Amino acid sequence: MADQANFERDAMPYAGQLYAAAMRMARNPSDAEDLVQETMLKAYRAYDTFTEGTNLKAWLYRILTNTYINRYRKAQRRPSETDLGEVEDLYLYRRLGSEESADMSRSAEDQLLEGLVESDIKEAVEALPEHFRLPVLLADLEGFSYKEIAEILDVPIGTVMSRLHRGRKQLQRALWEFASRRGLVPEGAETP
Amino acid sequence: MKKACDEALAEVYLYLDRELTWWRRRSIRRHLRECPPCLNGYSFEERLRVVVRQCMSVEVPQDFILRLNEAIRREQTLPSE
Repeated sequence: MADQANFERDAMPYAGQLYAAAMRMARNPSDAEDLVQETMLKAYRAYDTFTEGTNLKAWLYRILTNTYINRYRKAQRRPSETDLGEVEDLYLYRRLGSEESADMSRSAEDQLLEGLVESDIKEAVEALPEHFRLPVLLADLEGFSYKEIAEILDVPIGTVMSRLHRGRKQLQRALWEFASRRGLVPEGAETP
Repeated sequence: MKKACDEALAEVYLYLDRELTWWRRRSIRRHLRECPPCLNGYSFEERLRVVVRQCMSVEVPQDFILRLNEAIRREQTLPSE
């Protein structure tokens, strides 16, 4: 069991990371500040239930994620889940035709990766349904393992893997659309 | 495409997520050394992830951290129930 007297020393160093994660979840600074403040106060009050030596960072993210879900569930828009039936892995890479011509395509890849602007990426992530977006944020942005994400979201690890997988596919498909609108894809490959 | 390529590409996300056993990682690395198309696919996915991370990076306002510290300290001085 953890001692509240150590909370400041042990947990506060995560405040910055939690703020960044909250910003990506809630998308605006005042909501992010509220979320992190509420998270840290809850964590402080419950600190004696935290088992010392276990994963403090994941514990804090779990509180943050629950706080976020509880607060925003009602207000949540439900972005539509794209039918991913025929979307394959490495979707963007394959659409660029990179598979067939490894040497020729390097420039097509550079063009796409360098041409996408920040707002494209943000919009594409934001357009993901929440149950895909959270695992993608936790894995790709926060760097948590599948096991940690399963603990944070309180779902089985297999669910994490399938949501992550489908979320990434949907993200790549959205990025492809931005890229083709910006003329960043090779001629003849525009239509997804 | 060879079977080895199919297998390597099927595990690209597990590899980048560091969720593979070390011997599986090692055998994929061995395959990538001799297979430029697969290496290209792996590096594309890796670069994409870096681009996403850069675009989604957040600057943390230091005054917020200070305010948060104060809020925790205030909480600490409250008498416990």
